[in-house]
Amino acid sequence: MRTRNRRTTSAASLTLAFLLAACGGAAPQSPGGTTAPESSTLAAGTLSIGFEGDIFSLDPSQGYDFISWPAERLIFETLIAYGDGTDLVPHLADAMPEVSDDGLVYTFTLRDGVNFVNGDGSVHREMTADDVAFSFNRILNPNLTPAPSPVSGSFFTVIEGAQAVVEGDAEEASGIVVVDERTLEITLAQADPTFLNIIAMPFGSVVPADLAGEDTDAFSEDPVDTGPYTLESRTIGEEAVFVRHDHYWGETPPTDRIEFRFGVDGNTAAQQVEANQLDIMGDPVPAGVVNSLRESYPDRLVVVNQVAVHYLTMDTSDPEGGPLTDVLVRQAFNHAIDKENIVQLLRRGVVAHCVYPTELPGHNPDCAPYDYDPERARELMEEAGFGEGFATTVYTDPSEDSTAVVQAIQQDLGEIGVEVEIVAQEFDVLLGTVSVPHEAPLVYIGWFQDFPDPSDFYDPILSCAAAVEGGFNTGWWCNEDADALAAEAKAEPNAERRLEMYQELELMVMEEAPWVPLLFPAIDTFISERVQSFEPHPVWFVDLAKYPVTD
Amino acid sequence: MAGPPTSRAPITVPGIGLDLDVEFDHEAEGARTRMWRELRRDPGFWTGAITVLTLVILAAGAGLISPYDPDLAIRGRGLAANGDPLGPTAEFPLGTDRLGRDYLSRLLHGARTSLIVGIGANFVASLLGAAVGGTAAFVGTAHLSFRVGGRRLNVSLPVETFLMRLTDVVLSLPALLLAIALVAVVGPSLLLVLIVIAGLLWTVTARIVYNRVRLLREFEFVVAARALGAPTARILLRHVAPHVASLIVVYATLGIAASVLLEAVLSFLGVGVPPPAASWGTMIAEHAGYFRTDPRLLVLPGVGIMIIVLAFNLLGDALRDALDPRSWK
Amino acid sequence: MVAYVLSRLTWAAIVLLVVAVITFVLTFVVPADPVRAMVGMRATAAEVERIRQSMGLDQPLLTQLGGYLLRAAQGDLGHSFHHRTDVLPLILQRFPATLQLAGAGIALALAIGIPLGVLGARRQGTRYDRIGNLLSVALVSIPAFWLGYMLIYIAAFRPLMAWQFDLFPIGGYEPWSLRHLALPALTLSASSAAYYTRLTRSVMLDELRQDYVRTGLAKGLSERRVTWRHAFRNALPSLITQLGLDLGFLLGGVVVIEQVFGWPGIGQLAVNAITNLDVPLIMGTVLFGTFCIVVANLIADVAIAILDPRVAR
Repeated sequence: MRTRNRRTTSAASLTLAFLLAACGGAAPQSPGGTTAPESSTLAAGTLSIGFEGDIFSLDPSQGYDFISWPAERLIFETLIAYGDGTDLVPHLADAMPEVSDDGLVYTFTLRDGVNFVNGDGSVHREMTADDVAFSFNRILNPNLTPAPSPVSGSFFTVIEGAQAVVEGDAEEASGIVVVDERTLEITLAQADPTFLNIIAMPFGSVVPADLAGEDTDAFSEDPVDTGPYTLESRTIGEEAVFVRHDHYWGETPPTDRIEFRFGVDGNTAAQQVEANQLDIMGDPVPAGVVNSLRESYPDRLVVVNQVAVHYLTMDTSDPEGGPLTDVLVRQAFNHAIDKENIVQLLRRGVVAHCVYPTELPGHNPDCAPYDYDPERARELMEEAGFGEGFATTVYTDPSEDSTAVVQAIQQDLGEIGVEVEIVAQEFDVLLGTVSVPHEAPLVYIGWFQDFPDPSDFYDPILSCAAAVEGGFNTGWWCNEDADALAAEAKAEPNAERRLEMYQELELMVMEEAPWVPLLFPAIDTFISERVQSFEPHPVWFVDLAKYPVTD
Repeated sequence: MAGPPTSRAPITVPGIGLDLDVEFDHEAEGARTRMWRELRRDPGFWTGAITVLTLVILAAGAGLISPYDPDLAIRGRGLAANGDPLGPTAEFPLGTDRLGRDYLSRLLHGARTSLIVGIGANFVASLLGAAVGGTAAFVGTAHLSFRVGGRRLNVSLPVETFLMRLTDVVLSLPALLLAIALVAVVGPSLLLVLIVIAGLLWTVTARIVYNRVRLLREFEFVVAARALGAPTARILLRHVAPHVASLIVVYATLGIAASVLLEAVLSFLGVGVPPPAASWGTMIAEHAGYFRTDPRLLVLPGVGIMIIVLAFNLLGDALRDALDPRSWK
Repeated sequence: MVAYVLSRLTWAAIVLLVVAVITFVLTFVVPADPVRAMVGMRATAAEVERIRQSMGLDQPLLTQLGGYLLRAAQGDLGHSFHHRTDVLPLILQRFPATLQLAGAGIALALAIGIPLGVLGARRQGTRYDRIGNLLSVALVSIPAFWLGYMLIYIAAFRPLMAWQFDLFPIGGYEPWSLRHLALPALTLSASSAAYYTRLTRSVMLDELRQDYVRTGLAKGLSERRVTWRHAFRNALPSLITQLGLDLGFLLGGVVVIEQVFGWPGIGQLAVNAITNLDVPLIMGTVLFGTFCIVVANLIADVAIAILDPRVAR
């Protein structure tokens, strides 16, 4: 998903080396099994987390950001979920699905005794396969208000018949079939080993068919769900409070109340956490205090490497021609930008030489085609015929970190004769601008993994299919050969071979240099003394249901 | 809201606070010489004037005096190893900023931007405000008479009412919000910030000038000139303008402080002068988070703003006192 | 008097209308697309168009303006794009916070500014006066957000960390809580207090030079009585006029303070609306802000009319 560079609070991996090795396979199969709900000695208490922003929506079809997802995940659940790492385990399904030999048909059996719980903690009714089918079809529904799901045209369209729903030609996808109350069969249009990862995203949450209507705002205000918490209250822009209830099917979470606080200024939040008045700072620690906090509270500042990449896109296919359409110029840009300096400015993160982040399966540590070499950059510019330089514009968001980075880029490109003007737009507005083809020549933006698979770092951001209005391929790069390789790699059943193919793909991309990959970000999360244990989740970053607090 | 102005309605520049209610003793001999003598004796005037002059010289000569290019981040040496800005060293007399740029150079160039914004915005605001207020008060209701195809047409234009109502509307707007909206619409730039600030401050000058000219309208010398048949424009320029000019200058100097601060606020909210431009307001805004660990980054431009404000205030106060015969000693 | 009030009311309504039109037109001129900003992710051109049509945002300016005004008159200010909730309830929910902040800030500013200003006038030219002037200027030139951060750090954070004194909260909001209101109100009042000190001083200086003051003193009235019951009372209309004029600017000051202290008021709401191109919310907050200014000015006008009946003629 797109990262707000400032608010790179996202699922990230504090993964150790062994996890990396274990994550080699893209195949998400894992020994399944049911977990008997266990009651443990409960540490009651309230956990608070603060953000400058607000929840966009609690409706699972809508939320696609680092505040909405942690909140949604307290109350909604998916059929398949991640365990403590990146391995998938059955959750609302009682076992991993049966998959047909051709990889097209998935049969899920649902767990018994899962209830939809109302906001007040009372039980609505039991979940059935109808609800699951309804939930998946809902993601595809083009008539949701105020807007259809951000992923209605992607991810879930791998289901047979889904495209028809998206285009308004059908009410339901033909590939989603309810076999009986506890059994659901999903047929894909083509084999996709990432399908289980897809339905493990919060978009795949199960909602009650009788209550989740097309008015997503209404459902967001009054969610009815299967998760261990319910929404007790929400004041827009101020707070949202989630409380534990008694009718959960699974293990009772340790904290009985989780408070989200919004509108909390970064500098003020840091002081609040330091004084133990706030438990978790949801936004990155401001650059001004990072080093001093690292010194003073080494065990309370958790540095988390994110499975994400920050990069500069260049308009590779500008219909008016222009210097950025020339691969030599783009390669020059890659040589001209001092990435070490950027990492130093941000005080965290790792230089990115290529596309796949360090913790992503398929990361290639040997991929490093362009080093920092302004001389070489100038040569390339000369070769391309732009020795005199040219003027262009970079778009980004107005956060402290982003403005620092683009100013550094501005200076670096100035050295090779390129005059860069900076335009900062609030993130949502920025997304709107950059999704119009050829509107923004240079964009500084980030992409965070939706699930741990290299396909997520090509299809949504580098494929031809994404180089359309509304897509995220903000460099408007389309290479048929690369697309062909990507399609092959996606369907490849052999896990090792698959990763090899994705690495080939990465090298192919870097040769054409539609981007300048800049860094793989990390964030510092500041937590209070009250939090007894804080393990960032490799996929979700914060798994709020798992952190007990002392009072 | 524009109520009927009384001769004692004080008009102030927001943020500074000053009123001016003068009974100008036009008949007094050597008034101007008297004024100058008062001014000369006022230590506030000299302090203010010299400070302003020094600032202007520093700002104008920023390019020559600055040891480094203010927009240049000095790679490698500009930041500490951990990414933090450097404090004052031999190499960087006032240290560096969050991107590793020399702070002294930035402060000097920032003075230039802040002064341009301050003086420029007020200049425009004063001209505009004086034009609006003066016309409103002097013209009142314009009675025009045309001959159109054989017929005589008499038209009354309520110029005064219209202009002052316009001023009222602008004053009623939530100023900052509209400023931000404008910048968001057009895109931030130094010119736009200037225009936005001027667009808000002109109303103040308009009200002052309006009140003053209304009074002057009734003064003997004006009545006499009119009786003698002098054209309106001439009266305005030769007789009324000099009295009003000094008034405007006083308020303009005070408005400068307000402008510089407004620019700082706009920068803090993200809609100020675009990077990498140095302005004191931007510098304070971008280092807001360093107030605990490196307050120098905030204090230096902050003190700079304070000096500008103080200097112009002293100057304005001195001018105001000099213009008012009742405060002469 | 009644006629005066009525004419003021009419004028207030006109002002509101004009502001509504101006703001509406501004939102039309925005180069970025608000609908795109709302649905930016993964929306094809066709989808954006469809949503635009379904929201009636493709109709001509006048039609939309008319529709908006009609609905506004009935109390429906639309649905916020970004916050995904209705505009008017959202604004009303956050109004008390801003009201408390602005009210406390003004009250504090006046409570400090007026006495100091009167004192300054009475002691004009003395060393006290000069120092007072300098201090005023210094306070007036500190940017509010900086002062806010400093106050939080010095008055709330350090006492708590160093001596466990939980004096003031580190930002945050509780309704009608003096503890929470103290620092933000202080920050807001800092520059205003200085400003009103200077204003009061100027106005009082003029009054104190009037003949009736000398007469009063000659007649044997105490200086205090002459100062407060006569000079100050005459100076009041000017002060109130100025207060009314400044409200537009004052609202601006609130914005910054709300951000720094995490105060859930309308100021922050408005700024976010603008930067997020949340058109319905922009309209709502600007209108609401203007409404407040207009009402406050109305009250000020009436107060002046009561104090100085000549005005209402």
